[in-house]
Amino acid sequence: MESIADKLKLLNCPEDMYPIAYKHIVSLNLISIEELEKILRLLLTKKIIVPRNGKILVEPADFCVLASGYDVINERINDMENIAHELDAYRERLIRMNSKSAISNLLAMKGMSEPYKTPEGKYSKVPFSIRRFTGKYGGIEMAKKNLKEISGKEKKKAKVEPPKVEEPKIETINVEPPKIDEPKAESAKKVESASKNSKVNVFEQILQSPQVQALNDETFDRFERLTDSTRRILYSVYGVDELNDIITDNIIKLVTSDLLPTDQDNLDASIIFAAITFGKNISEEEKVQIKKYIDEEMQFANNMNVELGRAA
Amino acid sequence: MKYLEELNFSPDVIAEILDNTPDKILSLLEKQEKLVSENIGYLRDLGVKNYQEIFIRYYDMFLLDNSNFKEIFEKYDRDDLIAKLEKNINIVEYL
Repeated sequence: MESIADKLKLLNCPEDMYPIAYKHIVSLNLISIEELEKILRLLLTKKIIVPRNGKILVEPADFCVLASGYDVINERINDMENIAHELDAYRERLIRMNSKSAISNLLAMKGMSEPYKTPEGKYSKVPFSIRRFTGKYGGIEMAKKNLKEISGKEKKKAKVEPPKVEEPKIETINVEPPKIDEPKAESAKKVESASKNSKVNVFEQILQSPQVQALNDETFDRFERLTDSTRRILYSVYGVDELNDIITDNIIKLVTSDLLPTDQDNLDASIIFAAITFGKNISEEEKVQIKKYIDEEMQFANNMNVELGRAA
Repeated sequence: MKYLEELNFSPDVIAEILDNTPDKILSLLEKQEKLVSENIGYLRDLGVKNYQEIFIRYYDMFLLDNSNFKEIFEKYDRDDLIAKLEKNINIVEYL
C-alpha cells in the first residue's frame, strides 16, 4: 500500500509540517505516487514550482491541485502557455490551476482590453474567480462570444506546435526531509503541549509554524540585506526608496532558488541587478547607471564588513 | 451539490466551487454529503461567519472525519479564532 509519508517525502515536506499537511491529506490520497512523481516533474520542468532545499515543493493548501491528476494539470499548463500566454499566473499561485474557466476569463478580459493585472504587476483575482468575473462582466455576453472565438483559433494553433517538454529527472527533488534543529523542535513541542493543556493564541502558533520559522534563517538575513541595498540603489538611480512587490518577489525568488551558481563572484550584485531590471524595458544607459550604483553599494557593504571585522 | 443550498450557499458560491474544484474532489464532496454537511455545520454553529469562504478555499479539509475536523479548531479560544478567521482566512493553513 502506498504510504502518505512517502508522498510527503516526495514533496519534500519536513516531518514537523505533517500536522499542517494532514488537513489536506484527502487530496493526496486521490493520486498514486507514480502520478505524483509525473506531476512534480512537469511542474518543475515548467518552473511552476522551484526546487528548494528544506522547503516543501507544494504547500499543503495546494495539494488539491495535485488531485486533478496529471492529464488535467498538463492540459491546463499547455492551454495557459499556448492560448493565454500567461503561465506566470500559475507560478504566482498554484491553486489557480484549479479554476476551469480561468483561461477563457483571461482571454475575454484581454479581448475587452480590461486590465487583468494590478498596477504592481500581480494578477488580478477576477479571472480566477467565477463570482468576481460574472459579478464584473456578467451582463456582457460579448465577452463570452469573444473568448470562444479567440479560444478556438488559439487552440488550433497550439495543436500545430505542441510545446517541447523536457522532463527533468526526479532525482533533482530533495526527498530527504531536512534535519530539524533544536530551537524548531522545541517550539514544536511547546505548541503540542500548549494545544493539549490550554487554548493557543492563533498568531503565536503561526509564528511558531515551520513555514514561518523557515524564514528566520540565513536566507532571511540575506533577503533583508539585499532589500536594504536595493532600496539604497533605487534611491540613487530614481530618487525613490520604496521597493515594489515585483522587485521584492524577484529577490525572494532568487535568494531561495537552488538554481543559482554558488561560485559566481558578486552573486549578490547579480541578484540585485536582475531583481531591478527583470521584465522591464530598460535602456542600455540606464543599465550602466544601475550597475554603477550596485558596484558602489557592494563596495560600501564590503568596507562596512571590513570595519565591523576590525571593530570585533 | 444541492445540499449546499440547504446550508445557505448561494448559487454564485456554488458555481465558484464547481469551477474551482477538481472533479475527483467534487465527486467525493457529493458522495460524502453527510460528513461535509456536518463539518460545515460545525463551523457555522461555532460562530465562524465566513465559513463559506473557508469552504471555497479549503474544501478538501471538509472531507476529514468530523472528530479530526473539530480538533483543528477546538484547541483555540473561540472568540479569538473567529475574529482572526474573519480578518484573514489564510490562517486556516496554520491551525
